[in-house]
Amino acid sequence: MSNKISSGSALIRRDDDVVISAVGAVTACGIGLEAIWDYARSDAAPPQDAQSYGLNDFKAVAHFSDKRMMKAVSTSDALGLAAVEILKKAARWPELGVKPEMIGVYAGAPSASTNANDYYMDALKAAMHPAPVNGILVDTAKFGQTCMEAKPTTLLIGLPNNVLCYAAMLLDARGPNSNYTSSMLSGMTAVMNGARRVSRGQLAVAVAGGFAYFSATEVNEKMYLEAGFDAFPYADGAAFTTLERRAPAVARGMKPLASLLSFATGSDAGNAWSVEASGQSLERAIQRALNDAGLTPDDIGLVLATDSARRGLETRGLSVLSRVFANARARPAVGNFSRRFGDLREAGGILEMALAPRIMAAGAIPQGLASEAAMKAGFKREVPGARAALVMRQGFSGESSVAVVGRD
Amino acid sequence: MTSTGMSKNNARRRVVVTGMGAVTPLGNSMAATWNGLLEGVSTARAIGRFDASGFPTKIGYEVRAYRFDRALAGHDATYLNEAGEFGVTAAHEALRQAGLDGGRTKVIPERVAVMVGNGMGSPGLEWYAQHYLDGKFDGETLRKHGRFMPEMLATVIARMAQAKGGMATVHTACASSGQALGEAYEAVRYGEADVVVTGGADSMINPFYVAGFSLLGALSKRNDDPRTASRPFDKDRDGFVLGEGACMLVFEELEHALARGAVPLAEIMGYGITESAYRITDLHPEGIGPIEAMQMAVEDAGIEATKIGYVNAHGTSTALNDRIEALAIAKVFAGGKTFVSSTKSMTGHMISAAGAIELGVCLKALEHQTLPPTVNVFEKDPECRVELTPAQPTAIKLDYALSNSVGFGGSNTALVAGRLK
Repeated sequence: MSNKISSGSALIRRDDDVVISAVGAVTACGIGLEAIWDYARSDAAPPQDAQSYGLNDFKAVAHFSDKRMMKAVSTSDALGLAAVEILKKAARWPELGVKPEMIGVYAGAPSASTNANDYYMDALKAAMHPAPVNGILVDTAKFGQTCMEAKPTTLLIGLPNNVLCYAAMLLDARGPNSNYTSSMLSGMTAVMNGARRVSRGQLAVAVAGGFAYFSATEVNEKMYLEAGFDAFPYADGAAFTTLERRAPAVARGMKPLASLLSFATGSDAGNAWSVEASGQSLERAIQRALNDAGLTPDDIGLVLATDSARRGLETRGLSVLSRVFANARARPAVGNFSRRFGDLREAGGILEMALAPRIMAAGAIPQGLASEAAMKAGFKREVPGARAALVMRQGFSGESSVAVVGRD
Repeated sequence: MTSTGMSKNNARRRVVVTGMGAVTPLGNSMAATWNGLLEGVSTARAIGRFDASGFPTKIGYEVRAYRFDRALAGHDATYLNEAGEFGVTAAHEALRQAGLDGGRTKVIPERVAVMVGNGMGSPGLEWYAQHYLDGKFDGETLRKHGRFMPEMLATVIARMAQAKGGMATVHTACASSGQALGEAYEAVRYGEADVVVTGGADSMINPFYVAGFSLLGALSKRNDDPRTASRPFDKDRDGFVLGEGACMLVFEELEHALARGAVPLAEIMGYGITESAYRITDLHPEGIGPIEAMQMAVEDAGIEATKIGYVNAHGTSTALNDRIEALAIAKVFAGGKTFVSSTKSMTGHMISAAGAIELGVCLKALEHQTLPPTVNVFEKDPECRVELTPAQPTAIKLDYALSNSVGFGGSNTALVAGRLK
């Protein structure tokens, strides 16, 4: 699927362009967009072990305007909501002046994780047979009885759409909304659909983003590190954006961070957990996104690829880019945030969209975001005079999401 | 209701349904489900798949006489949980009806997408006991854990349909498939896709979730009379009864469908989506949220509210939902002759699949010009001031129908369907 988000030529800024006007973000490498950008440009070494990409020590409650909310949400949700609270400040929310029915929340969220709910796990442990009974480990009836001593809101703590719900309450956002549990592409899907709503006039403001909290347990770490997914470590993080038309954002005193020009998605339609090596579906998605933005490969000076922690996705992505830009006057710079920040899973792709214009303005990808594999494939770090960038993300089973982003 | 711009698209593409499939407690196809509804069957009984004796609620609407055909998913069958299996079966039926199975008709793969509502998909007690508590979690277990990833269903359906236009999985609790359907409708309507395979699947008859809903006080405790426990709009309703299953539909642009010889079953005409922003579980006492969603859908459809002949309500059989939803429906459709029913009395609450199966019921009602019966209302709640459908299937001239879904977390959806004209 694909569509144009902003009108007119992608290289001319218009009042009705859909822009990212603010970002609220939390990562293990920085909190808030400016700190994250400073880190991205710095010479600081990236975290050296998987645990350092985690946010177990992050005090979400310090960011909450209503501390009571902490009792009702999981650690994972608290991370997402902290990013929304940071966004509220960055977006000058009290000055918004938009009716609640014209504000909508679009969230990319992790799926429910029953093992992260202590009430359930405590009841399970209490219900274990001392020894297997006919091969059965758990006394289910006893589990039921023991669970009834748990907190009444036990189920609610694990709802995948908690951040959508509580963010909507925080922001009084009563308009169209959604919540995606599409794993790696969830956050970009949320931004894409929020932007579509703004583009169509169905919303004045979309609060769109995603959050990921994967290091909640040692088991989660073992799952991915020992399973041989050795590309990039999984990282915890959250990033939410305000999406609105340029004119009202500027009128409110905001300086647009990026223009969203078009989006496209693709899928290999192959087997689960497998990725079609040629990357044709990704290539077609890139072509559709460029077409919808009214651009050609010559107009793209920067590509930010953000790939999930799977072997081969980076290679596939570079192979696709080599074909897309085969006849371009000059090859674009290619960078990869995952090298510096880890793979932010459901929050992946969002920081890239927000920071692509700054990288273009700086004229080169910061060293820490450069991709050695891309250099070897003939791409570069320098971004001379670029006005438009591609942000692309690939998922577990060969699905992909592509955004074309412009800078002022 | 102030226009949100949804109906301002002058170049309006029309969205039709070209295929439907279902697996429900009433039967393992859309036809079996519809026939079960017409017979007024309630299949609720004591939960059979686990020992529920220690739980306050011991009943559910389980899918029965069902065996998953693993060949439908091929190698990927390993990565499907119960909800995923239901979903794949339903998708197969829908794709077959639409003529999109096995490459029978040629469509541009990049113009075909998948958008489904899927449940929370937790592993069961034994799985956790075996793989988690003792720390023996390894790479092989990880791959098996893929069964519980919600997006696996969309992945498998994409392969079945050769849908290369992208896929998404939505979860907003009970509104999940309502939202997936709505986003699929908009994707076709606004030209982002020509075909979208959409719908929902869920299976929460699992110790974790029976316990969780019981703790909230949301489930009926009418264990001694399971068949009448789910009684939406009845004065003595005491909570919902969990169901399970799936319903999948093929949404397609009208001209695209006609050009390839597909037979449109009905038209999807309008979508409304709001967020109550009130509380995580409770509806706003004045129906704020659902009212606006219904109004938005009707406005989007470009018709008067009084033209809606049938509303399939969310109607969970909880004290709060039914009363407030009835208030909302009465307000939106005041002055018209709109019949209302909740088919959860016969399917149970299928959670993430509810919106999809209930839109499917609306489409069957339009096709057969028949209102499904109201079942398990022994004494209507006087505070629910809506006109319920009669206790037996009723022939009616029906041009438009609406399906409501309201989710924990405050998402409210409404979809308007009409006979194709």
